[in-house]
Amino acid sequence: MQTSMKPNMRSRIGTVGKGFKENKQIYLMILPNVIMFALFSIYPIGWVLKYMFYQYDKINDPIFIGLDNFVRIFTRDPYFWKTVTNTFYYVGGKLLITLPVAFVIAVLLNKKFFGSRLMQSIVFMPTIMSASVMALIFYLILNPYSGALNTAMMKMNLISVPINWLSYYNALDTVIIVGVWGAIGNYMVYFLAGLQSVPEDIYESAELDGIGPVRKMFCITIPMMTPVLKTVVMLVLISSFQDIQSIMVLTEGGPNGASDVMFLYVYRMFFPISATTASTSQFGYGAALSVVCASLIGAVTILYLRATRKVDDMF
Amino acid sequence: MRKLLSFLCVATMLATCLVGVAVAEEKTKVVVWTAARADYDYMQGVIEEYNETNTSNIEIVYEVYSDNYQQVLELGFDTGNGPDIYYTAGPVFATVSYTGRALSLNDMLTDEQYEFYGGDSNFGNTINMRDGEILSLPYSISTVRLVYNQDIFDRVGIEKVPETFEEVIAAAKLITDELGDEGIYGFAINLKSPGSALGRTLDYMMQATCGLSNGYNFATGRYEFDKVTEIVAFLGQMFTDGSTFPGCDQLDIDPLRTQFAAGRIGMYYSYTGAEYGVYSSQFPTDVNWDFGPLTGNGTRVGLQGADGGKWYSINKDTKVPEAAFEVLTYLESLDVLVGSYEAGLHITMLDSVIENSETPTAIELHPLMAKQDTDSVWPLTPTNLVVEGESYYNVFAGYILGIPGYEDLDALAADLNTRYNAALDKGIADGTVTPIVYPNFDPMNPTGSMN
Repeated sequence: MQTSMKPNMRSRIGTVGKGFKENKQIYLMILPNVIMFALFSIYPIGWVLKYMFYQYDKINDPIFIGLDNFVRIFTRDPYFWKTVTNTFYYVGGKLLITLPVAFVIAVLLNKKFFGSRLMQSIVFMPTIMSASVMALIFYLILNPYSGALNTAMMKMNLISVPINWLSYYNALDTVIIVGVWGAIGNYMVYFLAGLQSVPEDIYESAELDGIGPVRKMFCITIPMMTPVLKTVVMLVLISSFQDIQSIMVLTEGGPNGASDVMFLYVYRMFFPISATTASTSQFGYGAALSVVCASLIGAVTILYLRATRKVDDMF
Repeated sequence: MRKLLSFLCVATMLATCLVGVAVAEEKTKVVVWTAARADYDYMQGVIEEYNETNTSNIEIVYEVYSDNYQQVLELGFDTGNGPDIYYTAGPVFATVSYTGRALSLNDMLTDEQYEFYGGDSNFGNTINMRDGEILSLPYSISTVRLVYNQDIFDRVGIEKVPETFEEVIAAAKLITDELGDEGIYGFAINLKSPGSALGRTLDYMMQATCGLSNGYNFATGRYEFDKVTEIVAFLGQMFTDGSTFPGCDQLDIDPLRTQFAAGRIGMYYSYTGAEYGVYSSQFPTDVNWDFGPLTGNGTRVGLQGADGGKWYSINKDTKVPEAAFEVLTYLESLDVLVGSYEAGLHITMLDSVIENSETPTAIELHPLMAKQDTDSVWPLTPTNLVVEGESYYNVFAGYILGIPGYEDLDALAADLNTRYNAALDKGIADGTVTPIVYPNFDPMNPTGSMN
């Protein structure tokens, strides 16, 4: 049996070698990407998988502690689970607001009218703005002592006392709004592309059958948009789980963890900021946390893909 | 022949120019990182003068960082892109220099220089040395005082600067009750970063009032947060009374200062070494402000801590140690330090500088800027502690802000004691934390009782 495989293997290696010679140019072109991928993705993942079993603060030598980092995560770190809860609240809130708003704006701006292109550009603009700058601007708008929003509301007699939009009770909702504001333009573009791919003749025949605009929306537009919707939901989910920039600048996860999210917590384990949870770098624990966070996102993604299979069957 | 001569002349001139350019480009660059922003204008002049006049062909590249200084610095060290010289004020000496990243200056420092920087009285282990190796040179000393707006005090009739917890609480309430309608509030604290806020209040108050440093008792070698609850309760009371500036929970120190400069805050706590520079150049103000004493309960147990004894360190991995040392001693030379001290940018602990200086206008205007007999450098508490859960800053900030789950102050302090002491014991057991115990430690003589 073994002897019979040898010629096959040899011929396969020969084919690969021949293929390499024939496609040398292609291999050379993808080589930089492969190197970068290995350097900035494979190596860090390997690093994390190693150090998640260590206590390591970059000053002392790493100490192997087996599964203790994971035991700590699951039994001795309630703050992490608070950040997980906040993260899911943030992701859910951002998803529930971003999708309908971006979709409605896309439907409105898909119609040709004077200035529609300009409006599309204006709505898209926050997407190209730095998240940190955006958060600083929102701080100027929302702070309770000189914020533009409170000032305007007080001038309009809507409130008599400034509202602390960034307080313990409001901070998480506020960072969701900031996140939504930054995301709408991006997903509007996806929806616009989807809307423009729906064939006009379907609408025309529906009109001939006397179908109104609301029914057209629910019976034609939304079903035809399902593939785009699936992609957009996936993108919103993954990007929202990783949103930390604007939160870090706007609230630093505070007050007292009210707006803290899991990847910001992981970040602080590597780069302690303002001594809120750790004043010493905890690389090993941070590595273990990032594996748990990645697993949580992986689990959500799998659940989502299974759910969308059912949606595919429905339509 | 004439053509040949002309060609040779031009070639010689070109060669001279090229050599000149090459020589100019061969300057040894010494990169200096700092987080000090208030003295930026002064230091720019100092750096420019050095770069134009020094005969050692050295160029100083001076880079100023903001609130994330320590993080950027550590990242720089980790990636091999750290500076040659770095500023060590605040926690940087403990977290960077003391952990093996600073060059020992013992072999380069002359006896004359050692005496200029204060000799044995200004050098000590954990203050600017480790195991006998000098890691940083002393210059400035900074501590915390109450910063208050005299105009507001005058308007509401406060005649004596409050000194005790009760007096500050009463003054904050009075100001808010009287002037709150105008948007003027009694007290503010920058709790967006609990470490920064309580690092400039609780940490200093607990040294003077409880004899502890960061909750640590040097005599017993244990964390005793239960002893600091009186101070935490004091800060929390002003929030309960509604005497605090709106949005303190999301206030950074610079936005706080801008509001103080606009005359909207009666009192806050900050550093003697920073605020004069802030209100002279960073946020110029017409507000009539001054320093008051650090608040206590009326009974002093220890000297008030002061951040001093260290100023700049040299990166252990610098490729230009000699040039870096020359720059270091220039940045801490008599002329530079006298200029900085006389301009009120920093308060010095060096007698050699004070003796050669006019009394700075800043100290004439704000006498409590100067080092007082009740101020002293304190030794370092244990470093590299890996505490599980929230830091004491975050926990106490939760109580101060009245956040659900943080109501029981005694229970919070007991939990902190348990977690911090467990981390200490574990660190000592696995060799990552060096035990620090001074059985005869006297908070009234912190540097003199480290034995």
